[in-house]
Amino acid sequence: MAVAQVMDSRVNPSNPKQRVVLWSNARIDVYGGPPITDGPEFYDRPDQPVVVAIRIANWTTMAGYLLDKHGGFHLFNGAPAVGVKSNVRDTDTHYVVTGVPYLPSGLWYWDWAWDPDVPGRGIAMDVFGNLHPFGGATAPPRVGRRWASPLARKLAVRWRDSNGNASMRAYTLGYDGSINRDYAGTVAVTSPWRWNSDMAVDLVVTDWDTGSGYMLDRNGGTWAFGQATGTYSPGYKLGADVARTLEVLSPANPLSFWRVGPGGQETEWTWSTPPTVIAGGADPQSPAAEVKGTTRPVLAWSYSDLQSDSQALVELLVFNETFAASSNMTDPAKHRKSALVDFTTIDPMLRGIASPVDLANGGKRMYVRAQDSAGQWSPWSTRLWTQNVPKPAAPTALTAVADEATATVSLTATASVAGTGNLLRFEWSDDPLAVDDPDEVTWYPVRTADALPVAATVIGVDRDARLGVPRTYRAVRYSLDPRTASNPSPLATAVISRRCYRLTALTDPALGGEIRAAESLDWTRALRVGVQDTLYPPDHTGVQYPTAISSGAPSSRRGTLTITVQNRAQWEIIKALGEADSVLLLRDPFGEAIYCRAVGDWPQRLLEAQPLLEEVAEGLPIRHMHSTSLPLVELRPPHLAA
Amino acid sequence: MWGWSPEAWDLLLGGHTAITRVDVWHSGKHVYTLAATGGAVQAEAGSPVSRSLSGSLIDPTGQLSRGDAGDLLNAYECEIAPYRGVRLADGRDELCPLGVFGLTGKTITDSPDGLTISLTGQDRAMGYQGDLGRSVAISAGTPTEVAIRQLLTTRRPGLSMVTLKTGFTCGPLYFGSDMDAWGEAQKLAQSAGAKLFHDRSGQLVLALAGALSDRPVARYAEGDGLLLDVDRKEDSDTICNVVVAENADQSIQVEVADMDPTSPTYSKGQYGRRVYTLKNPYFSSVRQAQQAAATRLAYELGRSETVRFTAAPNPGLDVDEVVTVHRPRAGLVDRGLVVASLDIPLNIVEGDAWVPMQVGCRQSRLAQDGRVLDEPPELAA
Repeated sequence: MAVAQVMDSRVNPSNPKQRVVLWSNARIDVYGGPPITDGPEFYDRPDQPVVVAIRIANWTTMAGYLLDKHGGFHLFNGAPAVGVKSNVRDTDTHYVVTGVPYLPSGLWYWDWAWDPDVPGRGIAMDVFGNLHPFGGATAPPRVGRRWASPLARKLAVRWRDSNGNASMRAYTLGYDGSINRDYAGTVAVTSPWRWNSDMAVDLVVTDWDTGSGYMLDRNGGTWAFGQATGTYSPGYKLGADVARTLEVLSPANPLSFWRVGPGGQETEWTWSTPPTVIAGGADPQSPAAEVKGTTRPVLAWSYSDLQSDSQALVELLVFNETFAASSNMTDPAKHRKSALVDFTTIDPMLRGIASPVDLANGGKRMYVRAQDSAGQWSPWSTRLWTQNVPKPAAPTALTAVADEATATVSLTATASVAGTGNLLRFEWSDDPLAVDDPDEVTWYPVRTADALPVAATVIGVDRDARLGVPRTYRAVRYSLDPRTASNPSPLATAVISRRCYRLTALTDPALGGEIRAAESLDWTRALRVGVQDTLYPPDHTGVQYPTAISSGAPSSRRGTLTITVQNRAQWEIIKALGEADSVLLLRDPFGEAIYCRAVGDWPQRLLEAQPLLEEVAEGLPIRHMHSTSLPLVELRPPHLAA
Repeated sequence: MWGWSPEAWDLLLGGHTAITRVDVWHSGKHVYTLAATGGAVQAEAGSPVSRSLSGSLIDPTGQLSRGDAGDLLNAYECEIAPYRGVRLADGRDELCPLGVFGLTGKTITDSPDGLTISLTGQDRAMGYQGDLGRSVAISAGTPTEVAIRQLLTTRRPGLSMVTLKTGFTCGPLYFGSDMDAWGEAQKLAQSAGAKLFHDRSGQLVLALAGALSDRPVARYAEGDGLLLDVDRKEDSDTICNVVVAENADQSIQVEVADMDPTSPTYSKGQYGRRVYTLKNPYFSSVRQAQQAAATRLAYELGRSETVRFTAAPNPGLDVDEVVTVHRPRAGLVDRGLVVASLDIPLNIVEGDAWVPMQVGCRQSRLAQDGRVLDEPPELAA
């Protein structure tokens, strides 16, 4: 870095309101104490940081010491001298302390820890994790560097146990979040988070006997380790460099923290209790124990918080009770993929939603939990109810008859006019398993036949069936208010046997028909992958491979349909399709159905040929015969639309 | 560097599937998503407008009409938020924001292939550029960061600013109604050795000037499959190794110099004294002028070596971050460099080649010889 920024902070253990923040240019911001009236200043140094750590020896006078990056000790506010006075550099005067070698250039030291009870005793840590005891401090059993590169980030030391007996323990924090122990008896700690980059900045140990505490990352994330109570991270900003130091103001209840950013930005927060959430909400609860009137009941919950923290996030899941009862639902979120309803909201006022999907009859179980604005999650609350909505009577006598001339399938079903369920939809599936196991395949509504009024005989037409492929149908009777659906009718199957090219418009079933493709239809999809040869060492003799970066899935499928038009009538078909401004359906002899748009130039070329007899009668000197090409781009099939 | 997940980071170090997205915001909220077919986001450290956008966009759904696009991209209502990222192995996309931009120009072309929208934009600084509109009086002893906020509030009431504690005060000051709010705020920031900019999420930030990272956030080296080419330039003539900072009446005047005897631009050495004068009317103390001068000196010394390189895009990289470049044949041996300018492309592939990012760098002053941190001698206890 080239400019000053926050390097260290301290809090008076006897008065948490009294604090100091140290900047790398020796600026000291004091909160709740006398100002700093003397001491070093390095505002004019471009080689920041100059000082890296602070020690307050006397919180009344605010006397203390600074450690510079070379290993020099600096006094302020009248602190007693330590070591030998020196001015190796011509720009500052400092003290050199035995055990902490002074190196006049470069960045060597990063942190220190002082014995709170013995003046002048402590341990300095260099950027490689080397520990340098001074003032008679016990040397650590480990000697030498912990890291080969300058990656040490923080030193935490305990000098005595709770009985006041000497018992040294220490942890060093690495740039990547590793927490490493020194001195015998130091409890092994599993790092709460490990990064592949320089992210960890501070470490606070709250319980040396269990090896518990908190680690801070640059984004402002506060990570508990050992047996420390988890906390949240106000102002956490992924990817931003917003945090430098962390102090635990109160390790007991209420747990409270103070965080300082690189620009001196302060954040103070107190751990709060989780909110209380009740699935179903207050009386009358919803859904009721038995729901008869709708397949989309209101899924309600109540929210309360002792600290009046607002609702920040809600997760709501609904499962079939048969699934929930047979699964380990300690954390329902792990079964999210099996949920019938998976809903989240950040609306602080929302306390319920109508189910976004129709729930089939049977036992249902809702799980809901909420996070408060302090980051605390409530436990999962659950509610069981039974969906018991009367079903309309299923349609009967389903028939499916293929019409080879129009390449359509006529569908009829019989329904009772009386009873619930005022609408009927025909559904199709091309899955060959449909007949064997109709519940295991996906059914799609027949386009334009998915909301037909119920009558004694309901008639629909499927105009999209693939050619030469058996299609299975069923009919379902339903209503929207209340939302109910019958069991499906018995199945019926039809197949359009004539294999040819057919091009029709979706907006007008009268447009289009069989066409004569002049040549086979070629579809292309662009694979958008870029390849570049990058720099290699000049003496590299091995095989050199390029790097490939893709722009994702292949682009849309495009093709050109070249058609030979034999007479005026055929041309009128093509002309109507081209001018229809409609999504087109192209069915080919191979059983594929492609929804597409004609995009681009649409040429018409005259093919010279003798006129037909009827054309001669019309006085035409040449046959009405053309070649035309329709450039097509495939679109999402309507039945797959979101 | 953007906080990529380890999985995304690993992908960015080699071949991958890149994803881009361009969101349209109204009143700070997402209203529509367009797809980018070309263009780039440019970032430049130290520029009054730190980020700018030029892009060609299409409507991937094909649902947008020309009139819809005109309403959607109404320059007085909309902001553009481009993203770029990677597709993870499980199919999820991890995206990194590249800034939030107001429109400075747009062209909507309707052709048989659909709508093509060409945009140019600048970051939210453009909203603060212009007359204050009313006179502003700053009382004596006002923290510099508070004064900056007061100035900018005239252009955008209720603004949100993430700010450092400068530790310096200013005032009494009087700003006439015709003074440029953003320009004066920039000067106030400079007086404290700070910079005022909008970050990649569109947040207004007053932060310390200079490198954003203590350690390199990325390494580009021959043989890594990322580095395409390198261009290195040395300047041994125009570099100033002494900065004199002074206020308007020269009642405050300080000098900060390259005092490192090992530096090729050592102010007492053969290179001689080359003085840059930093004038700023808002210096209110010697310390403040020293800090601003030290910041400027670090910038000046960094100009002694500039490097431009192109590489596989990492959209998480940002200006003022430190990277290392290793290309010994070009005289760069794990050289620490500060990113000064950056072009992140919005189109991924052009022809049969991926589009690289372009990075302009200056020397890092984390160490005088340009390396990030020296390998020190073993310390003896």
